[in-house]
Amino acid sequence: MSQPEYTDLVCKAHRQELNPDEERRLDELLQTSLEVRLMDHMLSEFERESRMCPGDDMLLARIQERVLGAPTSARPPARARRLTMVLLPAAVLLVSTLAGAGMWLGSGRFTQLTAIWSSNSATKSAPAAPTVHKSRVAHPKPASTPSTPAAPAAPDSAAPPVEPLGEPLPTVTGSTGASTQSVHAPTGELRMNIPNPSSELFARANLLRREGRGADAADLYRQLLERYPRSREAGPARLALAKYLHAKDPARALIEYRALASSGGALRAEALWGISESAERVGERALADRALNDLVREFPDSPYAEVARARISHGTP
Amino acid sequence: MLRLVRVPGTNAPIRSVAEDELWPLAQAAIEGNVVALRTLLTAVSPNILRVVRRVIGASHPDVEDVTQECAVEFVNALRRFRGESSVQHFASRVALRAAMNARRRQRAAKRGTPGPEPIEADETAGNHSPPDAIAASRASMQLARELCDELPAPQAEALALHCVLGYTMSEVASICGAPLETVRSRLRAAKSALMARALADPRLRELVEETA
Repeated sequence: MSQPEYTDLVCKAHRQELNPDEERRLDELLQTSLEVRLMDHMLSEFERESRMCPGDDMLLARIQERVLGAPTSARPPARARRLTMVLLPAAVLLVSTLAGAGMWLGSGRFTQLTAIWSSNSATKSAPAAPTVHKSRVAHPKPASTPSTPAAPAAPDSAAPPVEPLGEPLPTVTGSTGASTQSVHAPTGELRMNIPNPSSELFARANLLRREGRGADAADLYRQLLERYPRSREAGPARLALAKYLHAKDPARALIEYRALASSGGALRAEALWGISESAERVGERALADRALNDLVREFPDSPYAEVARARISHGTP
Repeated sequence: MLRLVRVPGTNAPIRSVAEDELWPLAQAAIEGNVVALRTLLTAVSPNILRVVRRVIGASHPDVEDVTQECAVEFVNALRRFRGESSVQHFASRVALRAAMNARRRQRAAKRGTPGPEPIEADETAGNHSPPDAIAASRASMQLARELCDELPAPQAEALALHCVLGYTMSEVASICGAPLETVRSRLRAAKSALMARALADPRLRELVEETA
């Protein structure tokens, strides 16, 4: 075999396609050839880098929907979404600060004008100027009949995606009116629209996670699960929390994955995959195997199923 | 002429192009069958995601956007596909080119020579390896990526297909539609550059010294 083809042995080794002679030859080369050793090291790292992760199922489904969707409905790139995430809350904060200053000054005329503006906004069919957004510091009581949040563009599942990827926070009526709740201000003269708290919490947590602040994001996911356990965001929040815990505390991650799997729904495939990975890490091999078998049986077409079948057949998790 | 192809990253057995189960789907998609296109995308998109993660890194914030870009390129390129390789190999090549272009654009936008790729805090927490071991393990990936950015396009493509995606030389030749000797020549040059950098990189000293 010529020198350049030695590295072919490395490629075949990583697919477990070597015959015994080739295995022996590769073992020798790994001791003597830096090129072969370097390539073996490199491919191992690349494989680790590109392994399947919980949430990949939904990520790929989102991408597929965007690629196959109409061009006008295509989502803007993440950079534009991130910019929107920063500018929109800043604009709302500015408006609310100005309005708050006016109210504090006790300007009855200001209140009167604002009420007129708000009532005019409510009667117009076209989206009007944004209504005043109450500061997030205060959490007023939601209306007695809160509107259900608008279903996000998750393709084939009832639950919203784990990562909204910078969707605008639902703080401005007219753009995400269905995701807000209306309350009557104590004075009765100023209508305020409060965003759906679970959606807002979820969006904030995702933004923190994208910024690399995993621990802070995990805290918000936990808050969401404690306060809004039956919200549409609870499932994706639990999945995101489990993913964060996976490297740090696999035993706790396993608890979250099992809770997610038992609730069923669109995230059960990810949950079963997470169970197999985290159970293996804590030494519960039987549980890991059971999760893989359930995954293959219940979701045979899932991207996870392919890897699960390979692991089951090789007896290696 | 039948060609035997394999798909790295899967345990799929050897298939001839004529037996490529995605080929009929690809044909139907090319003819405008939307259902076939959707099924085809479902089949190839995990592979596209794997390629993107290997090229730009799994923790890169633009993985989803670049993967979407690659998927769009694949759909656009499908009309030119004539079964020269398997559909998965075709998807790999299209995704590789699109991902490498995206990486080059991002590097150009940064306007400077980037330093070593930062180690994510999440990688160290809970990882029992010391930071310098983690840095060493990432150094080889960073070397390959940097060379793919700098080498001439044919050499970079051959290096990426062989050392990043794990295709054998004959598969690289099939994917690129080039003679095997041409691919060998390209890889020889690319791997020489890779070796020179590895020998000069202090993060890989231990790997170098362990080799007899």
